[in-house]
Amino acid sequence: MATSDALHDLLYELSDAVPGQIHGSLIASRDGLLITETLSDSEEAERIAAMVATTLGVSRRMARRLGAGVLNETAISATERRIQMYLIGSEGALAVVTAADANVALINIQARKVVKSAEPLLRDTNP
Amino acid sequence: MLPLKVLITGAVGAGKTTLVSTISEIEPLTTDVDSQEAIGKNQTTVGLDYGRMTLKERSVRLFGTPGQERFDYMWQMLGEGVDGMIVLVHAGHDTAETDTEHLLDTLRAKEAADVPFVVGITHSDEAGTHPEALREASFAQRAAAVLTADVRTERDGQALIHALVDAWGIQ
Repeated sequence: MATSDALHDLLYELSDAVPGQIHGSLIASRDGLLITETLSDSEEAERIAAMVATTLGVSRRMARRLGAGVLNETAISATERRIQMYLIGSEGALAVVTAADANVALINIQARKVVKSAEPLLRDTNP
Repeated sequence: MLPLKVLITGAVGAGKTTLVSTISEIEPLTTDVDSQEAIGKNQTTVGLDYGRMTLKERSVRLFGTPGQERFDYMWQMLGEGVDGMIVLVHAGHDTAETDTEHLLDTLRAKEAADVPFVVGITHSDEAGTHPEALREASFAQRAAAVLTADVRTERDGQALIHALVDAWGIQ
């Protein structure tokens, strides 16, 4: 199975693990190139992938400046949706768009499973 | 006096992060990550570079942008309220002219950055480059000054910022 297919399956498994709470998700490279996505607006996904890279890049640097340690995640909370973002190793990024009132703790647990599974897949594709 | 805001922009690989590092008086804030694309270098900016310097007793804030078009929202965000721009152009990139025109059009369309700018032509000492052709480009004709610059050097970095000072007419 191609790497992007395997990553795509991970996103569907994530969605199934937290039924009804995830509106879509994507995996991008750390420099903002879209790898795979399950968003409702696929055309927008490429733009969002770049924004995820910016958000995580600035978040990571802010954490370092404040002596806060290594970045775990970044979250955006808005009236209609939440967006949770995670680094995948040194290569990738995961963004999950959820309902505004989603169970964040549960989504964090499931998303970290995706991060763990995706990390070796991404590492193998980028020599 | 209000601090001046300078945007350091240009297409990918032109030397924006390097210039901010060269002329900033504080340790610059950067957002470099490993690049997965072949862009002629290993690292690329995904957010912004930030530095600060003092010019004629005025504080100048330096904001470096990412170069790739997929980050064009950062061009617009960082371009808001700028007083001037340093536009870097890689002399050896075939698409340098069209990429730079497009970038400046995007900034102007948002009325974010219709301000004086100077052009720095970088990498012009490398084989196969055509710095003279870039001087004829439309954006170069609109620039307050066009310099060739090795942005790793303090001297050339200062020359760019001082060309901008001349364009502002600050005594």
